Amino acid sequence: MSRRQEVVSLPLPPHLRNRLLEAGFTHTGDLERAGGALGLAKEVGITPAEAHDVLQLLGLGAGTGRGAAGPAGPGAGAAGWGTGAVSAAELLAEAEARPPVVTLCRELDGLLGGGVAVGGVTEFCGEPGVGKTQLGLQLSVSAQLPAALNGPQGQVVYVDTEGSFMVERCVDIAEGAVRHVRALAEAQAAQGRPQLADALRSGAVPYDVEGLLRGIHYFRIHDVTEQLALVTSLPRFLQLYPQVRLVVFDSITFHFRQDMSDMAQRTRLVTAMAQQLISAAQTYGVAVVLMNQVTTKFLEGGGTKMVPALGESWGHAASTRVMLYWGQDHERHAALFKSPCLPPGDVAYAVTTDGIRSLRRR
Amino acid sequence: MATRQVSRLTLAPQLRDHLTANNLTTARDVLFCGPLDLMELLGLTWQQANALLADVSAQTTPPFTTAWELLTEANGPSAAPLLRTGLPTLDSALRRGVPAGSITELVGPGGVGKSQFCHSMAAAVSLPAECGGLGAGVVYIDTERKFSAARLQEMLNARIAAAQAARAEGHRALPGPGPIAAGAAAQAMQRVVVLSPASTEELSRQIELLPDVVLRHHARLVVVDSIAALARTEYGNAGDRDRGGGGGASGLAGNIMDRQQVLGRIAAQLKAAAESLALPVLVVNQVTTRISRGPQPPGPGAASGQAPGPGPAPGSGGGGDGSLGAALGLKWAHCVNTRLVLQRVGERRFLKVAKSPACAAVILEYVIGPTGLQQVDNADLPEVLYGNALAAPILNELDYGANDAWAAG
Repeated sequence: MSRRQEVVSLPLPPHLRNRLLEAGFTHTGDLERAGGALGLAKEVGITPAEAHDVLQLLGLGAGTGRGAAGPAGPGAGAAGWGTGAVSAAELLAEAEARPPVVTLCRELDGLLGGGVAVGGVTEFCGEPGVGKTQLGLQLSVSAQLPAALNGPQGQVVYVDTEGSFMVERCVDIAEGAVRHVRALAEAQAAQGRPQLADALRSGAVPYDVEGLLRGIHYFRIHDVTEQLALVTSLPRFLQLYPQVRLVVFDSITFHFRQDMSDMAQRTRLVTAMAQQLISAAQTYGVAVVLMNQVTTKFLEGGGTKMVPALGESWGHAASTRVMLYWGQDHERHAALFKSPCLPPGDVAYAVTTDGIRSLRRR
Repeated sequence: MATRQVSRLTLAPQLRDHLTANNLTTARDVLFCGPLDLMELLGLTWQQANALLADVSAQTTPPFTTAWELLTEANGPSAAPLLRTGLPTLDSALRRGVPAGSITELVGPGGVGKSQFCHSMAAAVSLPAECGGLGAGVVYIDTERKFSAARLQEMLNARIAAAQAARAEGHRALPGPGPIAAGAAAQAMQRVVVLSPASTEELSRQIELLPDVVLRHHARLVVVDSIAALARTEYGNAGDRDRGGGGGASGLAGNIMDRQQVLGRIAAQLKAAAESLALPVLVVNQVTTRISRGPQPPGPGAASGQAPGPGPAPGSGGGGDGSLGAALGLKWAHCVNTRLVLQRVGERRFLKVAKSPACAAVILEYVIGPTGLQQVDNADLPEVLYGNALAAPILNELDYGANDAWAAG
């Protein structure tokens, strides 16, 4: 960032900005040479606390400058606007250290590059009844897969905006996953690697239905305000529960479609929300999964097509976007149409009693 | 929570006054502002503005629970009594009966038994516990003037007779304890409140007042039969006129958007009422016939090819068979948590769970008997049920606009 940023452009309350400008501070460089918080306070005629806040903004008093989203308060060490920069090598190492959240459908996992990425935002859009909620439940269970099976072994925040979370269904899927894990452990034991089977039996690796259900923190959200409040408090929650590896919003759209008529305001709010979610995903190393509805778009010259809801600007929110739809073969399909690193593709998947699984071809 | 007043939030008093003085009176007002807006408006620093947002958010976020607690609660003694449909396959698929707190939709062609289903649910709720009912009130919103008190009474009497017969046989398992009072059917009839709105405006107003009505009558079920009727007649005619004037698709589209607005509002109110009162809401919807012609259906099929990725083809029925879809379009469909499809094949009738967070698709056969819908156990289901368009996507009525066939017909 330029050292010569104008004071006018700094995010300051109006009265402070005006005082600085009146006192002749026009650029950030002027502020840096003002002699610290006390010097600045004296010269401008503001309190030292206010001056300290101003300098913090520049990174001169240290701090993150992203109050709401930042993980901690002011940290030690002075740095410029560039704080938080990491090298691509570090990012790669970090990503490899975090196992993705699998769907347990081999093809779908393949499409997503091994599963839903931790540390990013993934969006699934689809018609009603195509399996968005089922996928959300499945991910909530598989986010808790033990590390011994290269699972994230984390907890889950499930945000239900539509009232479609059905705990009995969750029990089914949890039972399916427990059976799956036990079978894997037995298979390993048969190959002479009994560690996991022993750990499961002794409870050293807890993986049972009760544990799985206890690992899902459930929020029922009734309107836009509650949703905004939750997204804003998410960082706080993730600090309190550092075990959380997955946050599911089912759906991110519902209240914004029902509750709001001012489109400009809606766009502004969803964009801000997207920013907060991206930041939370990266800062706390959680996978954020957003279920989105679809809407009908009128094409020029007649005709319609189905597109994700919430409009064009929302398209930037998720780094990975998947469309779930019913294929011509009467099977459920998932199509990847936006990803920073994966080729587009299309696979079929099935919703079974045990959850999301590969489609068995008849 | 949205309308929570700033004056009732735990904030520093000066800050609170400052907020109200700047017309930020509810939590919603504050949270709809970004940190920069708050800085400009209130003269806060960046940190203060964020702290304020975090504070208000923390007080507005609803409490959370774990899935395990939900399960314990659902199986606990304080759980609300379940509303069973009396169709064993459906009841076991839905697990907790007709879901409380969300909208359950019934879709099907005319005369297939949608209203019968509604009547029998009304009977199941209004009957006293001795007869296997819930002994609670029912709010029946009848937009099509299809409600038949005589039919309801018939069902009630048949159910009471069945309960008495079961008791005479010493069947202890079924009904609850206590003798069946003489006037059980008459009392049950008293518990069913029927509203008959004549226009969407009136419907909308009645749904606004629904919570009061529900509380006054101790209702445990709300039936709307049907949601589509009024909207389709009122808005559909205007569409015809537009089309006649050559305005074609755009006029129709604009009209449908109007209708979507009204329906969206009604749906949101209905859903909110269902949620806040933990009520089962049963809504009847009509079906529309999609008329496609030629080997390649024009419009939707072709257009969806441009959708991101392989477009979700709305119609899988294809061909010229006039496949069926639920009316009212996608926005409404997204409000529905459970969708039951009633369908007739020849002389036989079938009920299918097309969408439910609780289960995968199940199909059962039923007949309409004296007590309402009754399941018929029959393993051999016609193949056509599996391949029908209703099984797969939830179609959009707008497909009409894209099809010239409609205009011609």
